[in-house]
Amino acid sequence: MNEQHIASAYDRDLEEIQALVTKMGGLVEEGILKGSEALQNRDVEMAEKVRAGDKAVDGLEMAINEACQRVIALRAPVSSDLRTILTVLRLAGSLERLGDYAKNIAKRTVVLAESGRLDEPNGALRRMSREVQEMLNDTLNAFVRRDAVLAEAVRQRDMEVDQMYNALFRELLTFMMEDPRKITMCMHLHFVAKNTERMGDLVTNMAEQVIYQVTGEMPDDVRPKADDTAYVGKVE
Amino acid sequence: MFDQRIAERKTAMAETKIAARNVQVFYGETHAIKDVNVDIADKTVTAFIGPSGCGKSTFLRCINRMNDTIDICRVEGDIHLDGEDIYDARVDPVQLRAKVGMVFQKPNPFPKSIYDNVAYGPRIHGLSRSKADLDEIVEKALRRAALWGEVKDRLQAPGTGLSGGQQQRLCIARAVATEPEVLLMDEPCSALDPIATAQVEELIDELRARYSVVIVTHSMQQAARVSQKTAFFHLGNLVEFDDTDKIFTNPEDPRTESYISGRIG
Amino acid sequence: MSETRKSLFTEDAQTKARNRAERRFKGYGVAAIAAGLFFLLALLTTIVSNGTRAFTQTFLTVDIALEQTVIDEAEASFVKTSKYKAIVGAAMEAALEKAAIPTDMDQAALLKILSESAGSNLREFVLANENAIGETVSFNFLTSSRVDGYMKGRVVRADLERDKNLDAAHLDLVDQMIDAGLVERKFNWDFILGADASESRPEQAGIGVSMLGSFFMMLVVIGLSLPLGVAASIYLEEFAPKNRLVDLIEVNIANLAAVPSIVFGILGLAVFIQFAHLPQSAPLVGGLVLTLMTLPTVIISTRASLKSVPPSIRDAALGIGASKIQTVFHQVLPLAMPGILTGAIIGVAQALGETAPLLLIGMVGYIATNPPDGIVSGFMDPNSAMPAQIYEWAKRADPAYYERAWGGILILLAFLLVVNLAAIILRRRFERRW
Repeated sequence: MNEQHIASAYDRDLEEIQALVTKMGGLVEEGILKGSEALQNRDVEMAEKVRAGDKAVDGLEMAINEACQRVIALRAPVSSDLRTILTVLRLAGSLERLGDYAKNIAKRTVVLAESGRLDEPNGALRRMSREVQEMLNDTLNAFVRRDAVLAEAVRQRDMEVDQMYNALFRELLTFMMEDPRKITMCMHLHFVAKNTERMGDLVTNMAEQVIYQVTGEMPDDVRPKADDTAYVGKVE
Repeated sequence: MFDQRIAERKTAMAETKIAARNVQVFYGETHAIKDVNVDIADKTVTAFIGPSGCGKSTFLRCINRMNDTIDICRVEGDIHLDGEDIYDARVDPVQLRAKVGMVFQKPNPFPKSIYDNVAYGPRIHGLSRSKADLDEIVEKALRRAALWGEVKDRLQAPGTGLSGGQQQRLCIARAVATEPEVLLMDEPCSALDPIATAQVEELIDELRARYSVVIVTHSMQQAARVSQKTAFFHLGNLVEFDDTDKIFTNPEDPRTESYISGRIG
Repeated sequence: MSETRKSLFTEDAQTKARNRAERRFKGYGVAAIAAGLFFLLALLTTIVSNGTRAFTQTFLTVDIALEQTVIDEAEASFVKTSKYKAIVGAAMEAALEKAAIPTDMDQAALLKILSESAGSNLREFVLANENAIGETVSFNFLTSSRVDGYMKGRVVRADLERDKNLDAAHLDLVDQMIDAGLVERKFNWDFILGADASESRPEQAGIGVSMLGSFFMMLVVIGLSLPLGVAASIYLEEFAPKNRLVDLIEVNIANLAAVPSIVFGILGLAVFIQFAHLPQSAPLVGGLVLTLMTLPTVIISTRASLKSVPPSIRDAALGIGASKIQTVFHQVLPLAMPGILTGAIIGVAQALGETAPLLLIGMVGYIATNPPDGIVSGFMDPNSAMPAQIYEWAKRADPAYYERAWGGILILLAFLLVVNLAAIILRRRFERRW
């Protein structure tokens, strides 16, 4: 699998695409981290930067699409090369959506800056973001190193993110019931939490894609999901 | 960093090596090549693609005046190499062919030793003054053809004893031994197996650092892999000539589109 | 619903008929080959059995004491040869006495057993080996052709009834001499190396001189037809324009190969002898005529060889920038060499066996007595060729000559074998390597 193609230009093309993906991933990771920090500290300036930075992420997605189109047209990749290209395309799409979520979180930070703080949710949110960012980091590493085991581990960790979201959801509900003045803030916080949970799901999708690229098969066992907020309030 | 690579891929404004204007070729009464205008750039691989009988090989053979050997063939129009018209009366085809080398479809090494195969061109063109000179020329050519490592200790063995891919690389070495400026290749890989084909294609990619390479191929995929510019011929006309990635991702002419996607023969 | 499927194991009628036809055809082929082999075998056995006899000849071994006085007397005499013959006769009598063979024949009658050349042979020896005088030397003299014929079974006593020279008494004596070991059949080098002899002395006849004649002719043929033929062929194949005139020439060359060889003889007579005044019967003229005859063969086979060189080689050479001449001489010609050589050698072998063209330039009737003494005279002195010599012998009345004709055929065949072997060896050396 690590043998070079006889046509060295082919290898260079693939390396280039991989570099673009890692770069994009790095930007998105940064966006998540910075966004979480901005939210924590209600730092509007940083939030603005994160929002503006999404443009670069979108630009990279276009570049990756073009590069992949070119490789498909000119090289007619097969087997592992084909899976690599397909994976890259999907990873790029997922990363772009991750970027969009991060941008959305940054937008809400601006609003939240005007309201107060709630300590507990902030800490939990920070932990969620960190978890998602680490999952993303691991996924990207798994992609670069073609490490299916690492990717599978990432898949399992989504459960924790879901559980954290569950807890946060109930907590925010409690806060809102206690003090109706906090509803606006809590709603925004909730969306931030939801976005982060969605980001966790996306990263898990990416991890499954990486497993596909390495092994040639999509993992078909149902991944562990713990998000039962859809059932909150159901009369038992 | 990656911006640099993307810029590299866009065909730099390379100079024009061969300029063809209003070229017509007649076989007796048949008008085989019609109104071809094309600029072939230096240090670039240009591919000619098209269905069988569309005239790509015929046009290729005009560039080194191999069509002169066919009595009923008549060429009109201008073909300029570095600004000089190669069909001018003052041009000796023999001298032209030292500057414009050719590699053929079926590997055709002379039935002599590997050394003599490569040394023949330099010998008859008087490019070497001594045996040591000639040895150097032969080694250089074999290295450029990525064959030196495999044959350096059996230079006296017959050229016909090599495998197909090696023979074709020997023919390439033979062609570059005369220090040409242009390399013409007429379907050089069609007689080779996939591995040998890939090796020759990689070699072509290396050769473009030094020569202007024109390759006729009936495999579109090969043209896509190996060339920077592609010309599509159809029924004697040059239908479209553009950067390879443009031709294969978004060609202008519907005929090109049909051919590339396998809709016409 | 069952479909009747023909089993592969059963032969259908069509296949049976086809197989039968093929077996019949194979049978015809084998029969043809067998017939050919049979005739070939018959030919070979006839030639060999008839011809080998010519290589041996009956010799009489006798010791002669070379006394100075006797020899001086013989030299001083006017008829030297008959004096020498007398010496031989005396020696014969002495030998018979020594072997205790009684006879009442006189010297003259005894000498009839020997060939007429005995006396001159002795004289030649004495003149060449002066220092042998005074010694006793053992000589092998040729016996007469009748005796030889008797030994080979050709001549029986009944045949000699009307013979002028020998009779049955002679043969009885010969039998006794055979028993005594004086007369025996030995290998006769003179047959291969010697010159032809007159009608009356078949025992002396040899094919050597006409072999030299053939040899010089072949030199001319090879020396002229190869370069001319190959050059003409190269021009026609590579350089000549493709127009009607050239087509005409090519057609005519092919036709020339089918022209009867005697026509070339007439041409040779008219052009070389009457117009150019070259010496008649000379191997040079014979060689020239045979060159004309061989040229079409060489041209045709050279063209076929040149055509058989794949055009990819030519393309490769042209593509590198070789001119047409360079392409032809550096690449095409070496590859065509095996075919060219084979064609040339076949042509030469054919020319070796031709008689008819030599008829009219005088090489058939002329019989040279002495071998040529130099290269130039080898070409210019009148001579004949081997086939012509064989024809000449076959015409003569004496059955001994008939036997020699067969022997000559054997030698000719040996020559052809050598030439063909040369062709095979040369061909393998230049083997195709593409």
